[in-house]
Amino acid sequence: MEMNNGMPGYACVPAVEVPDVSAAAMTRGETPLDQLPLAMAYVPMQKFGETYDGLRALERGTIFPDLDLPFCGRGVK
Amino acid sequence: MAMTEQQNLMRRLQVQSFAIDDIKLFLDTHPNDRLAMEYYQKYRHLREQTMNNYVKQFGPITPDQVEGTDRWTWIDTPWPWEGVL
Repeated sequence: MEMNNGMPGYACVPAVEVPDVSAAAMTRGETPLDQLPLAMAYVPMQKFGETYDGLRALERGTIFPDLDLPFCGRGVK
Repeated sequence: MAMTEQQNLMRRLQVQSFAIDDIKLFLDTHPNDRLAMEYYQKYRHLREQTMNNYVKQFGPITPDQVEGTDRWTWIDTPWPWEGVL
């Protein structure tokens, strides 16, 4: 398989076997982070869903409830 | 304290402008999303109405909204730093 995407001298990093973690386990904080490859970020593609009404959107800083995720510096149950 | 008609229109402009800014970010990565396009067009239309309404009653918000050849009305309304709104 060709592992070089046009970057001379640099082969692509071989795919690493990512452990199969259920969403439920992740929610419980059981992600085996030390088994994941370094420096890989995962961003799921957003789907257009519910939207806030205009004034609430301005107050919350987003029109999407899906993205209204204030960071509280601690776990939220 | 009750909002004046001018404050009310300005608040609506802020609300509608924010919704448009945010849906634009979504559309940048989802250019074929029909629901998002409908949302964009809806708010663009609303904002246009609010803007026309505001400018007609309270004067230009940006200099390019000065109409006609009688007078440079841009100077007739308070400057932003005068804190009227």
